[in-house]
Amino acid sequence: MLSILRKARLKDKEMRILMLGLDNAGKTTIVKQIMKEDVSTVSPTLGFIIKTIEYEGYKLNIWDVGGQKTLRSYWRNYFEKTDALIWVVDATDRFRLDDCKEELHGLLLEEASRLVGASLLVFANKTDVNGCMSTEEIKDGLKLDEIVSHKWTILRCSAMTGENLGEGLEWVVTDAKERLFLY
Amino acid sequence: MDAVPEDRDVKALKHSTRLLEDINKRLSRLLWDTKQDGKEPRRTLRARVNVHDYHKIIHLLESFQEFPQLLDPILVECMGNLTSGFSAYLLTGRDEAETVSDLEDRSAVNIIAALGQLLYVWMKVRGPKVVLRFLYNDPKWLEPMLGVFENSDKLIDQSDQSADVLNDVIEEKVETSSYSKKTERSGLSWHLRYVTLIWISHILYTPFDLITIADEAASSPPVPLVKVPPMPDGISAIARRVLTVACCSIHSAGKDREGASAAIVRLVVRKDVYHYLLDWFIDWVSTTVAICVNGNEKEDENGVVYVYLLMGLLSALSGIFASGERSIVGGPELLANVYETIVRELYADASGLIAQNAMLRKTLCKLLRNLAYLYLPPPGKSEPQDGPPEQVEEMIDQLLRFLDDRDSLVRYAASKSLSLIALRLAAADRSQIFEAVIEMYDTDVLYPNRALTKLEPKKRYKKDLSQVSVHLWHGLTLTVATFLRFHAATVSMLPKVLDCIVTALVFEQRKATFATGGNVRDAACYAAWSLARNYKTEEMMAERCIAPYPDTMTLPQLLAQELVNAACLDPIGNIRRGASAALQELVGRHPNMIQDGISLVQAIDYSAVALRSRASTDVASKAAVLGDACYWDGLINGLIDEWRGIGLQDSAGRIIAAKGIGSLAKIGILELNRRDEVWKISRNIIKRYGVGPTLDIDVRHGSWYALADIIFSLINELEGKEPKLLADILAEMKDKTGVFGIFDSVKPRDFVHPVLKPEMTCEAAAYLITALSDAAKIMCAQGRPDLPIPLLRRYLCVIDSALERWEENVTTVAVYAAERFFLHMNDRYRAEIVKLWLGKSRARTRRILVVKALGAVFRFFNLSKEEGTGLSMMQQDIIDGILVVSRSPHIEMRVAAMSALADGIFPQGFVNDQILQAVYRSLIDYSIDSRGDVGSWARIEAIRAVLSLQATRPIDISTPDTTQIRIFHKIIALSAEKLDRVRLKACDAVWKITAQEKDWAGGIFQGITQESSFWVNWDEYFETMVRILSHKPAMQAFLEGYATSAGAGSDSVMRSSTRAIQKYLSGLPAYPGTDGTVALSDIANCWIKIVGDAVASGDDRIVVPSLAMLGNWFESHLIERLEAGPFRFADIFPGAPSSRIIN
Ligand SMILES: Nc1nc2c(ncn2[C@@H]2O[C@H](COP(=O)(O)OP(=O)(O)OP(=O)(O)O)[C@@H](O)[C@H]2O)c(=O)[nH]1
Ligand SMILES: [Mg+2]
Repeated sequence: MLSILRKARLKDKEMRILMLGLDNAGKTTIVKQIMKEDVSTVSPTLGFIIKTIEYEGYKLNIWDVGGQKTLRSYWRNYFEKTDALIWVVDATDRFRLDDCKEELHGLLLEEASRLVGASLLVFANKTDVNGCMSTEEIKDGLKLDEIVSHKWTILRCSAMTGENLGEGLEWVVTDAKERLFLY
Repeated sequence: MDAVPEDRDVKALKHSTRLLEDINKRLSRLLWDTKQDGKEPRRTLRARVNVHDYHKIIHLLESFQEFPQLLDPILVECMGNLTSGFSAYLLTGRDEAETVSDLEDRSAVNIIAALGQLLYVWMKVRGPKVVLRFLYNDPKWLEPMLGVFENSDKLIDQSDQSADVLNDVIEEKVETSSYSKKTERSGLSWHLRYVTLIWISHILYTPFDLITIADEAASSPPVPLVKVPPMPDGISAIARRVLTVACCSIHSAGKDREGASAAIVRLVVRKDVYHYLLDWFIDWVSTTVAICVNGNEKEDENGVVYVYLLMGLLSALSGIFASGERSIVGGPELLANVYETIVRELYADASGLIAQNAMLRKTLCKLLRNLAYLYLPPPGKSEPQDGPPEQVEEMIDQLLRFLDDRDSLVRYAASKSLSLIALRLAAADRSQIFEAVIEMYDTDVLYPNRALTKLEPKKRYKKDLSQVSVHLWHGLTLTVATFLRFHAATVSMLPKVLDCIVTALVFEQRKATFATGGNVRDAACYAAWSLARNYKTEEMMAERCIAPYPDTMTLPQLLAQELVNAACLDPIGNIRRGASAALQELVGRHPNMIQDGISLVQAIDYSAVALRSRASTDVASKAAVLGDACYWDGLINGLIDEWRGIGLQDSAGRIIAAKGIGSLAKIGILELNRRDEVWKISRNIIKRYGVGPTLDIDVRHGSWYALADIIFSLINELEGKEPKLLADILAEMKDKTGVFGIFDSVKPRDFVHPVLKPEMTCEAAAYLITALSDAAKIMCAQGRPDLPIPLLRRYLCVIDSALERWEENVTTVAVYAAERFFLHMNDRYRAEIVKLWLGKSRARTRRILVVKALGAVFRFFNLSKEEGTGLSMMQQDIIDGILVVSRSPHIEMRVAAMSALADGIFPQGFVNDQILQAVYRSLIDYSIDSRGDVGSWARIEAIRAVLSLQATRPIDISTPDTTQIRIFHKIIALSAEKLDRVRLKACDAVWKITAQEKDWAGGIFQGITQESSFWVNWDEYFETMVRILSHKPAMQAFLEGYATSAGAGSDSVMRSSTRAIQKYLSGLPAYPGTDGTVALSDIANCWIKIVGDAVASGDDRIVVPSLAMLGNWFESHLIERLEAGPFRFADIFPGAPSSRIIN
């Protein structure tokens, strides 16, 4: 079975995408918005949820994992390897930006082998809210420039308005085209 | 079975960059010779390439077979090199083949042969479709490519061995029978043919009329072996040439056949060609089919093998339908013609040719699919209301039949074709096929008579699958999985589908010596995964489970429970992993539908289930307490009455299952308040193995282990903490299950009769008795009555039977049982038993376990403090007994005596000179029998005994003339003897014994520590050990042992030891100086003493190798150095020049 799936994954252009970030960052809302579901009724994720988004002929299997630390084990131990990591930051939460940095860098270190090759998209979410942090502020706060092991980018977005979500997926898929599905 | 290490793709990815660079660099160096020409470097293609380098590249490439897309970064450059190399070669005009200067030269091969194979390996690893994109498609290459076949004699000399040389490298060999005829022998390997033909087919995509490319006939076209019907008039010369070349390979056994098919396909479907060739080709196929299917010949008079010819033609036909335009290949008459004259004939298969060949059937599956497509409207156009045409129904029918094929290749192909055809059908028709598939599961399933209402509901629906076809179930389940992937089952069918999946998840069929069904279960995981992934939560929740499952159960929950069982309990590692992955998908896609789903996924983690022992104990225990323990029941019962638990065919698996039962039962009792259920399960376990003629010995073995493990796991958990509770529970178990009386119904012959696997029964019985007597002791300690004497006597009988065995698996268990049981007895009883055992050990039999048991119980007779030091009477008796055994004529008994000393006597710190002498005798046990050097068993065991003694009473190696020092010197001798096993054990012992001695640790071993593992390499080993010669007291013993290595060891040992001693000796002074260090003459004298003694005692074992060793010393002129002084070997060989005698 596992080898059948591996083959099918290539053929159907499937990707596994991990969607991570602190709790309340808006991960689930982002997924719902992309899937055009009602975004007014999200509640904290107590575990993980897998959703498939079809985008430009690619099947993006998004693993939306609850942000609490206890749920960390779902980030691992799957027979598929992770192709891309979407890290969602709550741009209104200055207070926990430092936490957020620690988590991100910790993850990249601990899970280095399973995340090898995966590229990193940082979503600065909730930018519809006035007074949220600027991209620069977040970039510095998360020390993104120190990340050399992964190709990364940062995008401002809003799960509420849907702004830039498409662009984010676009980036992920374009990157995959260059790396995973060359031929 | 444990799963393979995980994360291989991750590892591969990590190391790939370096490997890729390597491939890239090597490839370019392999092909091109770069010369500095002025400023510009100029590349020229080598005429021949180095085989070694070539081999290296192939090897690197093949390491990517499983992760081909990792190669993509270097694809452009490598393909560039290969294609430009290939074309450069074709463009160099040559009048004759490169003559090979040295025909035998196997270090370099013809470049075109190498290029062909390199391209082939790329196609194999990365897939032909991807490689094709890099091949030139400019029509101007068509002629040169054809030239490869038309001028082959100019490319590769007839006598050139390149193809053969390379064939040694490529592992995939193809039978060359069809090349046997001289006419076909062109020197081109099938790889090169394949690659070139594929390339030609690629060029044939060109949109220009072929006639504009070239229109000249070939000057010397190759002659196909197969009889090709006369080609129609009007066909262009160039098309004729392509066809001719392809026909040369169309019947080949090698892969070049596929290349030929591809070329024919591309040629025939061309707009400027089809009206000449399409009908012509179909006629050719139908005539051939008629001959093959109706005749009984296997090959024609030219040696063309029909199977391959048919395969080639049919796959070409299939390709034509797949890639031709509908307007060309989809005409109704043409289809009807093909269906009648080809397909129907193939169904009928009068000669049985199709039935005999799996590849043919696979080809047929593909042909049917491509043909069915043409009968159906193109995708996007809606399907006519009245269902698919009759022919399509027939094809579907045939494909359904192929699902039961005995060859898995065909099942895969049929399943794939079916799903793909179904995708083109209207939804209603698709569901109909799916229903047919589901119904086929019922073929040959036997149900109990449901009218018998007495049966409990579960049994009433119990399916008897012993008669169904494993192949069919595999094929069906694969098909279910693919159908589910594209949502082909309607929601109302899901309960039935789920029933199939769940039944397939536990599918197994016993054959006499093995079990089948792993592939069915694997496919079932895939189906479960597809279901979870492709159906929405609402759909899954719309229906309830059907009988035999409770209708209160939801579908996802039922599936989850079965996946939990599979992930924890399946004997095959990859299935456990598959189930775990499916479970993850199920929980992740359907949030909140599975009880404690998230924690469940956490417990049954993909990597945790890889090890079988861990999966069915730790992992199962974690899962069992989740979701109000709804998984506990399935897990523990899965371990009991199912094929995957204590009924497994391998005993290791049963023992693991028993451990699992132990842990789950403990949880049931202590955490889940399910005592009664556990007792009921225990009673079932006891009932499970049957009695009398229905007795299943394997199951009984597993059952006894399981019962014992229930007791052990309770004891381990509670013994220290809550002895009272423990005693209560055990007492309850005793009353409710009757487990203590379990041996009442066992017949004595079960423990001895050779056909009843007595060793297995004895092993399990001993294990269970250990548990029972431990339990009895605990209950006793809490004031409960002890077991009645007759019961204890019965246990003792069982233990005694076990001690009569000699098999490996019984040994530890039985001796341990004896020891534990002893704890349970009073002194009088103990003495009685020991007397009995002593009597048995003296009999001239091989009761090795009795001897070991005597050792094990030695400690129970220690004198108490008040009674003083020394031995008790019983102990003296035991030791006397062991000493008698140590002189037994049976080697096994002598070994057992040493074991008893090592494990029983020495740990108590007791030793005397008699015992030491017995040990010494074993160290020099060189007895041999038909099994070889069996004395080595005694030597090794004696070394172990010495080490055991060393642990309590260090060996005295400073007082001369004691048995202890003699033992020490003997071990030193063993550290140089010829048997590897003995040598290493002895070396280890020398090490441990001398660890505290300055002379040794710092002197002889020069600070090398045990961790430096110098013994891995014999050279190093002997170079270190030979220094023992400098320790004069040990010199003689050591040299004697050394002679057996240097004079009669295995080749490598002999070489290493000889080299080491010669090096050592050449560093010695010829004669002793004043400082007392060892000199060459000392060694020589020592040699004379050894040989003298050995000759005197007639010991050839030493004399012969000693002479051989001396011979080597003479040869290397070592001995000449002694001529400076008085020593002469000639003195001992009077009358002859010494060296001659020795040689
Ligand atoms: N204004 C605003 N609010 C947002 C946006 N995205 C999410 N939210 C709100 O933020 C809250 C948390 O959103 P979730 O999607 O549950 O966050 P999460 O990252 O999934 O959290 P966990 O599952 O606990 O890890 C919700 O109340 C959302 O309505 C956004 O773009 N703008
Ligand atoms: Mg969430």
